[in-house]
Amino acid sequence: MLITTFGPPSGYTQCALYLMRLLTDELLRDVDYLVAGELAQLREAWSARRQPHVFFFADCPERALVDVFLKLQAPSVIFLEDANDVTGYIVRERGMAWPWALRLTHQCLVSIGDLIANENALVLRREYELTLREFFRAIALQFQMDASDAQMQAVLAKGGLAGDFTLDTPLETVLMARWPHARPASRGLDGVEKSDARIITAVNAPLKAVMAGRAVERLLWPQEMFIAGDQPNEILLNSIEMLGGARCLCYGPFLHLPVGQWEVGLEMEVRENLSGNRFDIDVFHGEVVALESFDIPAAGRFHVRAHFPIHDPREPVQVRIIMREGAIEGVLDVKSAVVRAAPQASVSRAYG
Amino acid sequence: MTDLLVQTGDRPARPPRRATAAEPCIRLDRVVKEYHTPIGARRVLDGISFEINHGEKIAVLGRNGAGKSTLVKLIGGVEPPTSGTITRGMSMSWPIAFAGGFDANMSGLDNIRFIARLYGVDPDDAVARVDDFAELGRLLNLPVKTYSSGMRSRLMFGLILAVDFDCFLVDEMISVGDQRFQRKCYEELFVKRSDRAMILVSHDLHIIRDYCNQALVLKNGRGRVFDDLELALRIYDTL
Repeated sequence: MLITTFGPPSGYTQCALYLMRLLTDELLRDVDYLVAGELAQLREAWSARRQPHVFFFADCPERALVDVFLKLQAPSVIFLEDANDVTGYIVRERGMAWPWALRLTHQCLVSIGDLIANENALVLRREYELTLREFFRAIALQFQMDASDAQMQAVLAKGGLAGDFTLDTPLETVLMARWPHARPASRGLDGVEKSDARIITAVNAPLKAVMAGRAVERLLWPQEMFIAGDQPNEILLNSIEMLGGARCLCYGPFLHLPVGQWEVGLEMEVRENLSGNRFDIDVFHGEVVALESFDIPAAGRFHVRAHFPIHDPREPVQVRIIMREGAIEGVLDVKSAVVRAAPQASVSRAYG
Repeated sequence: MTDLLVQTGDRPARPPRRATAAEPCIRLDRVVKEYHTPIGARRVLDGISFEINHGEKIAVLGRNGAGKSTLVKLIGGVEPPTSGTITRGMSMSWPIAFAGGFDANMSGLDNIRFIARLYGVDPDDAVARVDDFAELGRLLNLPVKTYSSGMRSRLMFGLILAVDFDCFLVDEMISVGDQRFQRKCYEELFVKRSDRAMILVSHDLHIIRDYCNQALVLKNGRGRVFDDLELALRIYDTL
């Protein structure tokens, strides 16, 4: 039997996985545990398995792996919680800066987006507030197994939970007691600067559609998700001085999109560019998938739109603003980027 | 003789004055130059401002058509700016590498004497110095129209050194004669006269790095002065 599970790297996923492993060990006995993000890794682990049953988990599967599981139509379980809670957990547990935790949140949730929409998947959301009994029964039912109270009690005992918890204890209670980096639901960003939390919330908002198994239609990539070319380790907060040699002025956001055709609209404002210059704006997704070159005005706002395809949600998307000529003056502000699902490929721009 | 050498508006008819270290010497303030063309006015220089003091050397960098030669003409007094002011507080050479200012029918010697008188230099002394430097020998007795372009350049370079200006205006560095003679030119201009100011239009990055302490980068008629030479060269490299 193949027990397949997916979920982002959050406290809820870790807690649920732990309980689920205890349950499958109790019910199936001989189980190999596999973690893989790529099809080749899965094939290798599958061929080297020693037990008749395999418990497979991926938090960020590549597209080929997702396609295999979609094709198999095998039952699976997916653990989900609020995207902000996932991001906050990553920040605390991994000590990761919030922009990169945010990117990892997107990478994982977008990668499993099509699996969430698959009717063979059992999606167990944190907000369901299941008791341990309900949780175990839901898992067992999904894989057509029987789990008696005695077996579930044995699971608690085996996991060292029996003394503190019963089968009627909410899973949430176990999570809060045993996973120190977990925070109560919807409070995952506690401790994150308010201004940062606002950005995280705005960037994570479109993931609600992904987690509901629906298509994403529009995303906002704020300026803070871009990186200044002259300070590659810093987020873009201020205007960009164009003064200097030809170079990449800014790039980002290294966020992820579901498979399909997309359109990015980038709004910028330039000042004091009296000596003129030329920009390339491209979209990089493993390779350059859209490119536009144009002269920029001496001053004023302008808007660039580019259509591009996404073939692997695990691969981040970068929009790069490249100044083609050295500059003796000029200031650039990148206002924001709005991304929309688009039916066809083309490139256009407009000055305003 | 062309306008370049007889223009007297702000050229002293006396020995070139040696500027003191304290005084500002050449200052451009919001200089604009426009040319009228069949399709309207074309602004070649747009609000150029900079100042160069005694002993300072500024490189002028820019792509072809950026306005370098126009700027040299304006600083040298060959053409007036459309607006803005150019203040010359020290004696300024005509552009080195400009070898078109001779009377072609006169001999090299006569040209030297004529120009020496214009700039208040003893003609015999000027002849001796040019003869010593230019290595033209008896060819100085021949009309300049018989000279090759290299010979004209040698003559002009020798004359500039003989007049001995406070500030040298170098438009595209001289490629005069063989390597030995070029080394001699560099020695005279950059080493022996290292205390003089210089406005140097050049694509030779080695010379700029070795001898200049600031750079004016021109782009589409606009200009900006950089004390950071490497930044200026990075910009110039990708203009």
